[in-house]
Amino acid sequence: MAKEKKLQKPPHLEDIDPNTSGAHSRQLQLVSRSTMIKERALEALFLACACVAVLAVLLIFAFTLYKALPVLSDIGLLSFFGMDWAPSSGHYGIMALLVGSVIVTAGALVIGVPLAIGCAVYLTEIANKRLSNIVSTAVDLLAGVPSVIYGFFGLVILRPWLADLTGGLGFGALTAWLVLAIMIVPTITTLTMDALRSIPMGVREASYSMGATKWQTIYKVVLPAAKLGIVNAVVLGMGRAIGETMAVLMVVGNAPVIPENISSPISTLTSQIALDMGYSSGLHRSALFGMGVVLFIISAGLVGIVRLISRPREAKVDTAKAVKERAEKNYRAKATDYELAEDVAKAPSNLPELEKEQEHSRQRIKRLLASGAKPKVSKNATNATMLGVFRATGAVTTGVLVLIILFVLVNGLPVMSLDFIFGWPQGVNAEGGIFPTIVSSLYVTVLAMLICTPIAVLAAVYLAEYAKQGRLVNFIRYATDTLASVPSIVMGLFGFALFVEAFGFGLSMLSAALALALMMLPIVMRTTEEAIRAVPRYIRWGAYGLGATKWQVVSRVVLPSAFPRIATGIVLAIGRAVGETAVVLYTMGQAINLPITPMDSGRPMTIHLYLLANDGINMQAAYGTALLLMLMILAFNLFARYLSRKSAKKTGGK
Amino acid sequence: MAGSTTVMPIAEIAAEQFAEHTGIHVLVSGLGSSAGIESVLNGTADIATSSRDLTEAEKSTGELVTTEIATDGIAVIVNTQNPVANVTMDQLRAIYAGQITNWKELGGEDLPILVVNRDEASGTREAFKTIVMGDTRFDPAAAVLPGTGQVRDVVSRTPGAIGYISLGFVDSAFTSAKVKALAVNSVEPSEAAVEAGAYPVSRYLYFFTKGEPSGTAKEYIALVVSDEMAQTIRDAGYIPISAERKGGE
Amino acid sequence: MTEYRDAPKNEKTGIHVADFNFWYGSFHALTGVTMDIAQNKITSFIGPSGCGKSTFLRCINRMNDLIEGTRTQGTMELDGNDIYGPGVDPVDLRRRVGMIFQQPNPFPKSIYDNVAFGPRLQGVTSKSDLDGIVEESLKRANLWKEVSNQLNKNGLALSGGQQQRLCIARVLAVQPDVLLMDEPCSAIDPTSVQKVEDLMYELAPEMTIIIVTHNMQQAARVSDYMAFFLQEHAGEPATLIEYGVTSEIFSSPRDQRTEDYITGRFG
Repeated sequence: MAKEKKLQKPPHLEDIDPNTSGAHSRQLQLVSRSTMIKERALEALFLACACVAVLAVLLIFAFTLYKALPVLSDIGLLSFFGMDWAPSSGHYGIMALLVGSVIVTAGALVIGVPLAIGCAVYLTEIANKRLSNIVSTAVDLLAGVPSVIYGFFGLVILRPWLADLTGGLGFGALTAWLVLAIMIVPTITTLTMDALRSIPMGVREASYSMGATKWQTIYKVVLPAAKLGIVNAVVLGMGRAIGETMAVLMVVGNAPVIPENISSPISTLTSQIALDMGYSSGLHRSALFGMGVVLFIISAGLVGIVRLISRPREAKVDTAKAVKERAEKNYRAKATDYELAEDVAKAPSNLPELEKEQEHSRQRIKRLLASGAKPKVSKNATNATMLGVFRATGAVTTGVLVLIILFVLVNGLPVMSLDFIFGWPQGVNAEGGIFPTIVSSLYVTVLAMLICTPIAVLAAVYLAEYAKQGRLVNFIRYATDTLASVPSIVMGLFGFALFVEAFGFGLSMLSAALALALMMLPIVMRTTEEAIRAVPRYIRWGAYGLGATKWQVVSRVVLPSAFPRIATGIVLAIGRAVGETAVVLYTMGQAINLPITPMDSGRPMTIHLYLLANDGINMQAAYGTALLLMLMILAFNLFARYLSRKSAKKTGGK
Repeated sequence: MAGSTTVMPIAEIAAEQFAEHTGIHVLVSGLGSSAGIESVLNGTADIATSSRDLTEAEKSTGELVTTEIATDGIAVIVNTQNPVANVTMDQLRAIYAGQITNWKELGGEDLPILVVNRDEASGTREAFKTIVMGDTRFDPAAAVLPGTGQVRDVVSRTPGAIGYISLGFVDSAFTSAKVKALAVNSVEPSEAAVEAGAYPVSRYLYFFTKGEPSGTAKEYIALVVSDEMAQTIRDAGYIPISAERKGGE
Repeated sequence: MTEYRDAPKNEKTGIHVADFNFWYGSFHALTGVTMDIAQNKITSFIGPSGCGKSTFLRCINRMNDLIEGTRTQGTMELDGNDIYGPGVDPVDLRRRVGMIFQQPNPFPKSIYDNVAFGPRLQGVTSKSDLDGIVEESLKRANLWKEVSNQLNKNGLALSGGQQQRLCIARVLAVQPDVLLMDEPCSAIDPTSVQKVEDLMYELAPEMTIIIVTHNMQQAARVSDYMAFFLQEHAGEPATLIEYGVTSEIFSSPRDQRTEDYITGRFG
């Protein structure tokens, strides 16, 4: 009974257009004009949202380039890539900074990549499940820790230590390498673990069942199989390293020269922009935008590389074609011989001869195995050594990450009090509380979320439900990936030039929120799209089968079932926004102020921490701010994990 | 108001007190002296705070009115273990230009000099440049640190380092790290020496307004130079304008 | 408990199992399995899902060691050597006991590299030796004709049935004494099933083959001996119910439960 009732009037189809539903008329009706217009209009709206990302990328590039034109036309491209950076005397050569960026990134990768991959292998292949779960959760959470905290750690702990070690100031490439390595390890580890986990268990079992040791299985089967994913992870880590601003700014020493050695001060594109932006004017400022363009091109290039290597495998096979063809020719020649021989042997199809043939074959394999097999270095010893190496990298990585947490926790806890959280900064050295900075951080984040979410979700709906795979979608994807990779300081530059200056929003919550929204857009878009795609097809078919229009299917069935995962994405993006420094540095202002309207300026926690750390006088407040900031971000990330767990359970239960 | 980060703490506290007195909120942004002056010229800010005097170009606009609010000596600091006690202005210039690179050239140990400079946004650097360097370029390979506290901290821990900070920050109540201030041209840095004009590396802190200050801006400036604020200015590491000078204006 | 036919007595014993027990953590999965598996013959394990037949199969090459918290008790000997004896290297054991899985699982490498994987592990490096082994193994797995001119193609690009035969070739390349097949035909198309079954016939004279299957027709077609496993009550350990010559079990099962199963009354 109840079932029948439901069928007559499915609750989610109540608003079906009576013209189209025409359930009771005998003739099939033509699609009504109004339905068609409505569906078309919605599709156009979604497409428009999807194009926001494209527009944003183009706009960022065009606008930054436009702002860079004065310096390029004035001094020429050649001297722009010259060695001498001395803005006060009119030299705007960025080569030393570019070299600095490359040195810093390369070193960070050399240190960070082996650690990250080793750690990922340890966690997925070697460690027992419980330990692996705990550590990988920690690694996950650390990937969300704001860069300004890593920079703070580098400044307060690593720098003095390295200064004593090298006899220098402790500012320079070496310190930046360590800080950046620590920073990119969680990112690369998480992505590498995803790649390793995506390899079916059966492949490992096959290897073990062939008598491979664990190390042989890892080295010969698992790692090669995950190669593409790992390369992807490394390139993304590289993008993160080259675009990193705050952490680098705090430890490099900011000397725009090619360094004499790894412990002498150095400067990078990003840190120099952040350092100079506040007071620069004229050509100097234009040169900073020029550096922004260079950074943009580098990161867009990296995204291009990632997309190239992630293409379907066919493309990859082609590259090594020549070598293979030669080998194949050899085999073809042999093959025909054997086929003939086999055919001859099989033709009479009498069993004894066949068996003889097989016996022959078996003997031949055995003989070859025996003749080829050489006594090697004990496999078990190699296995034990290599597993030890992996355990060590796992331990080192975990140890360093724990150290950072402890550093913030131990120093920050004594400062914690209600007065600190709800009080106002007082006096010249910002004693007292940090309440306005907390409010500023949350205010701007909520505002950014409100701007970003509707656009991102609708854009994702377009990509997942409406778009036909083709050039346009590819282009939108590329633009989204590029937008995601735009270094935050470039986003800050752009936000300053467009929102603060050109739109006249001034240093305000609104300017900062708009810049942050652009940063969050690709994150939310991607997770939403994945969430929508994860909704099983049969659920959609069920709704279509009942005569729902596309929009009804999307709005009543797909989005609600995808909601928990969408929420997870939004919460993760919020975590990123709260921890963001470089984007808001020159869009929100730095005045300590309790923002009321979106046009008010303020100082978010990240910038407060940065300024306190730089002043180096009121370190107590700096530690306290760092701890609160980290706790807030951990809370957001844990909440996101909780949401995704819950949704996983739900779908699993079904 | 907008401008020098050096003056920002003073300006902020004055703004708090001003709000208590009058209920009017003054917004303070620290952008650097040059940006502050630009903001006043283009009308986005009412008062520019600056740790340097106007440049010729800025003077030539003829629109800006200057108010001195404090004096500041810039102390040249080294590690407490460093036996060197005095430098001349010429030596100091040579050090920061990268021409003198070892302490033994100054009669100290055989130890490379690790030069710590401030960022270009810093008013202290601007003043140091004007007073000490003149037309000589800073050595670009020197470390550039964006905060007084950092310079102090780094110098206090590194035997071969040299840096410069506002005199008021040499002995800070907030940190145990100790540094030693060098005598320049044999004059020990002290408040008295700065006020007397004997210590060579010293400067004024300024407010600039477009035209004579009026209305709220005038009241605010009056508060900043009042005796009430003198202690705050001292806390911030500067030396208030003495009564005689104020009278002389 | 277990009903035994006398048949395996006439054969040379390949694997000797006595009172074998197995635990996943605290769950007692198998109890009291005692059987002698005939050398160079095909033995099939049948039984409903969850009856422990696959678990038992994976005990023979100690694949279960890879799962945390597993434990065994009892005797299991390969050619008179205790498989679970102290100091026995499971890695070495697995070189002698090959395994084919339900889901074809070629490595994401070329066909050539798939087959050469095992020999390389054993230290064969010479190109000509490897070429020979790869070729012979593929021929014996009846795959050579289909792939001989595309040995550099990715193994995953083959059809499901071809992939399974590639996996067999991969195992043959190390010449194991025992071949364990865990439902090798349940994920491939009927034509390929035929090919794999033919292959088993051809291989049987030279290696002990044990096949786990859900398909009773298949068990009847290919196996010389058959073992029926059953977990009677949920939560209790499964065990071996009846073991003997395949045709005899089908024609006259001795245990009522065996009869129920092969006549389709449960499972």
